[in-house]
Amino acid sequence: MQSDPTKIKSYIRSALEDEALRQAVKKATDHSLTKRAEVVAELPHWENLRDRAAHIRNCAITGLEEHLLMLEERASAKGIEVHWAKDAAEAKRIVGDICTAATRVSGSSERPIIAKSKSMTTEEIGLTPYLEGQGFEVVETDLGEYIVQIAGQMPSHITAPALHLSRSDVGRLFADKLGVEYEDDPVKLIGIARKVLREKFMKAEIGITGVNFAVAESGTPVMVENEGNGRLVGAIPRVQISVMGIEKVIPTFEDLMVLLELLPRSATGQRITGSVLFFNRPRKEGETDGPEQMHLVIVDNGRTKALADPDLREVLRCIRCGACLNTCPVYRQTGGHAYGWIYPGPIGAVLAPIFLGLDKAGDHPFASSLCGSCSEICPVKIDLHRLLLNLRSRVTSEIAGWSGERAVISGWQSVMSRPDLYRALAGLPRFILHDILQGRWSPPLPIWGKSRSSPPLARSSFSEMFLKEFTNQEKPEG
Amino acid sequence: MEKEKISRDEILNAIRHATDNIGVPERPEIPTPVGKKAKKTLHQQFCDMLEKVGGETRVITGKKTIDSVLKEILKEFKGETVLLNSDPELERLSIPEIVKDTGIVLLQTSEGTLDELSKSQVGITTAQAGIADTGTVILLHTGERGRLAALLPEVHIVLLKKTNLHADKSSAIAVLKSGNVHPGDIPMTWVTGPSLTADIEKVLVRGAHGPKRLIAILY
Ligand code: SF4
Repeated sequence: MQSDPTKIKSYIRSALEDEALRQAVKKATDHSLTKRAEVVAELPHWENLRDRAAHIRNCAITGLEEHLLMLEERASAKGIEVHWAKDAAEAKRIVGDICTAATRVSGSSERPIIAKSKSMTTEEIGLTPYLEGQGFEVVETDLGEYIVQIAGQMPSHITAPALHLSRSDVGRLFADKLGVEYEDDPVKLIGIARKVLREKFMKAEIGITGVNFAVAESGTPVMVENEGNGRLVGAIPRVQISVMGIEKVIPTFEDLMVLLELLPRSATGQRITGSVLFFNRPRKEGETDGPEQMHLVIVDNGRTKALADPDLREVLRCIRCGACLNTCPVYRQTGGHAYGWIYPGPIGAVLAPIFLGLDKAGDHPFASSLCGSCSEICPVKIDLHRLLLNLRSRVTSEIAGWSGERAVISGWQSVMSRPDLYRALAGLPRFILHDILQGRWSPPLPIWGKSRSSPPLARSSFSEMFLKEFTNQEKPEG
Repeated sequence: MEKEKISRDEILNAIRHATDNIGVPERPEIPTPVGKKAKKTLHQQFCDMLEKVGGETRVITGKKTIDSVLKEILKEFKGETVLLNSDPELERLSIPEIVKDTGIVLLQTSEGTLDELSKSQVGITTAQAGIADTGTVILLHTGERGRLAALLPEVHIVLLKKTNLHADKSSAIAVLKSGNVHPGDIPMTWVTGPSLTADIEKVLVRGAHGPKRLIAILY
């Protein structure tokens, strides 16, 4: 599994050579952008909504302490147990301890089953491998997550984890891992997964969910989903654990209504998701379903670092819709795995240096064309390309011997002396630019498009022309 | 536990420190949204929106009674089991009697094991409110009005009073808040259409984990 953020450059290079991957990513992201544009066009006040959402998230973040305290107080009052974790290790330990305590009494010899719904925060802290190490069977129940889980991969998109795989990839995977006949009809494949996962649900003792928003005024963790797996996670297991980043809190239900207008439209081009779940309290005496025990784990893991940085703070407004991935010319060519980290695309390129450090993720802010289409599309108006520029300047000034700089100073020679490498590097941005300029992909009024006109791109690079014009005998093939 | 308490204080301290000097963000001048001029009635809007996402709708008017509409729907499920919550509103509408009339086996959610419940083909529930501009039903789970009847079977039939329809999310929340149940106190699910996935090549497939069909009866 590719998961080393320091290898982003080599991952990008190999992703660019994988034609099938690029086709799959392009098809999926085009689809999402088209659907998004349709439902956004229905709302003449979309820009007003973005302004309101940005303001709501700003208020949530500037008053973070107050909101978190209220969330804690109100949730506890309803019987939800609140936990705090400074970093990934602590969050994992807390969740692991809850799971161990909850299953100790059951005394069964089989590995206890944990049914998990999709959650980026749990991916971020590496919860699943940890719990597996503790002797639990952890089942990802979102179908996309399930597919990447049994493939032994990580998700390649924030909201569409298996977007890089084709139906035949999934068909071969199921045949291989589940012992079923090869099949490439999505309807049948989903039917197979539904059956396998339904059996797991029936036996699940613990449910783990993410949190899209946590409403402070009532102590309510809220989650959105489409498949119904989140509903099952919240209905069947005896114990439910919800994991959230500290920035997910919002003050009121009224705020939530505005954000619920923007999130599904931006993420999947839906007016609303198939379900919106309000995990309000544990089951009461006489009720027929729902968890008897509920836990809310509030995780920092680097977020207070971002909060303390006036230039980067606004990244905490993010509601993880994934729209900036879909529109990013780099993501569209490389897919998510090339970033070597759980959050790809523009948002990932900003979060990586903050969460992982400039030394490990100094290359990430450079995986961007700075075209500004991410800032244009962001429902909470995060100025992503400005944040990327800011981080770039930090990398060049703060990291002595940063790999990019080394490439300029000492590596230049080796690049120049290796024509194949030079061509590969020179081809990279051109190839992406081609996509934009030839209208195969047009950003909806990108910021740079407003202020400049795009220069026509030379049909071939200098090196290609050189070969063609001056050394006829050395014409490159194809 | 002690360690968690320390972490809690450390996180809150870090937050206090980081946000010390930020003023409250100024509220931007935002024009009030241009209200959509809906010419349709709320229930027409609700039906249009629900159908757009693959849901089915039936409206009770004149000769079309709940009895006749429900029997019509249940015709294709002869010999199957129907899952019902014990819900005073379902009783009031005589739903259990109507179901029994059709010769279909009736199973109360409180009476079966999880495996038994899971084998039912149809679930019938009420919704406590609805949102017209998205085609959403709001399920409040109290007492024996649980989540499973609307979730385990492949077909979910939901009964919703027309008078409990609200124009949009915000008005629905405002009404719930002004009533005697705060939307933050009772487990609540908003459902819009059948369960869906587009995880394989963005092909839309219904019935991912939940119902393949959602039929709303407005009365
Ligand atoms: S940065 Fe904006 S566009 Fe990107 S995932 Fe976050 S909210 Fe969505």
